[in-house]
Amino acid sequence: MNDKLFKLLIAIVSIVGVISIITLLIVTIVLYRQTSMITFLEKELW
Amino acid sequence: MKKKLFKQILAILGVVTFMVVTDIFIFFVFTNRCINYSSSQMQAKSVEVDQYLPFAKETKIVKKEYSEKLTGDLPKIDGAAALVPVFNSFVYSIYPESSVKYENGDFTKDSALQYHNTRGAFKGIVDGDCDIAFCAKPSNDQVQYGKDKGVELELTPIGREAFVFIVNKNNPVDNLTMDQLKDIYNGKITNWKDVGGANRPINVVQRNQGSGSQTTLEKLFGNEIKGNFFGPLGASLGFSFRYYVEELTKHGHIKMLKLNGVYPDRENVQNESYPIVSNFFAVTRKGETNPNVQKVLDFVLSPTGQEIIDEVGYVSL
Repeated sequence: MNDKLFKLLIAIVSIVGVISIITLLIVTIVLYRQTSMITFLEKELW
Repeated sequence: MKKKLFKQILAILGVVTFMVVTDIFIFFVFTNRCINYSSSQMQAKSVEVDQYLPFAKETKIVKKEYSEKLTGDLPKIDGAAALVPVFNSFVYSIYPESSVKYENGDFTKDSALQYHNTRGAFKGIVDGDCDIAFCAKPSNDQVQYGKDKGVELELTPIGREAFVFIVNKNNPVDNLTMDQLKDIYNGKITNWKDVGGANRPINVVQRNQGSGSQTTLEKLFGNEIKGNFFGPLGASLGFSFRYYVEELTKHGHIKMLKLNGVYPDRENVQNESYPIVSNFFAVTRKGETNPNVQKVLDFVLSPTGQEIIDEVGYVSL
């Protein structure tokens, strides 16, 4: 694999990954604003 | 050449794995916890209103017959989610059936019974959209909103309730002292291990400004409640009123904490051994001229009204 192709693949994977993380964070914030305190406590990981 | 290709593929796989692991971590630690179990009505209104309709065939309210039904100009009633079972029972006893109109999951504008939760009810009292609100003590902002509009609120205590602190049922902590709570909400204690629990940050959860329980918390510990930056990665400390936790949300995944060694059950509210017992109120406008408003208050404070409060699960005066 030449260096240009490698860099391009890394860039694509990073951009897609960062977009997925940002989307998930936005969805989480939207859900958090709608959720009740009790639900948030109930589903805590222990 | 092959070695270089192997390294490049490894690097790409490494980036992909990092992104996927980060997504999975965020989903299970944060996103999944924000997805509600409850019905859309419970999410939107904090209570299943249609299960507590006063004149429905199947209803969970306490039904007490009363000799005198109101006639004439009927006061509009509204209030907090946790008090819906109480004021809907009052309505059953003294309002005519025709005065309550509920269509498509909500009360119609001309219905004498309304439900807009604490913030909406206080606004309704000031704006003249409702006449009696059944709620906890109003926040300073709510009192100020009334003053700005030239409306003074009159608070008539009608019953008592414990303000409780709640955690996940797997949290090993069962008891906190008032001093520990004060230090947690002032940001001096930030980890559960400092109060005998696991080595996890304390996530100080709060509710919307103006909600009954948030106002009560701020009156106890001040407006400057400090969150812990790492809190969301730890274990949460929430708060509510006892009846709401015990009766309206029976999932059994949370538990109420003892305070100074006293559990917030009904008996300990009654004998006032639980440290934070507060009144809840019928809120009206000072100088109200509709005589039916006083008639409702008289009924609520009568033996029948107080029996309703006890039978619903709260503690009468």
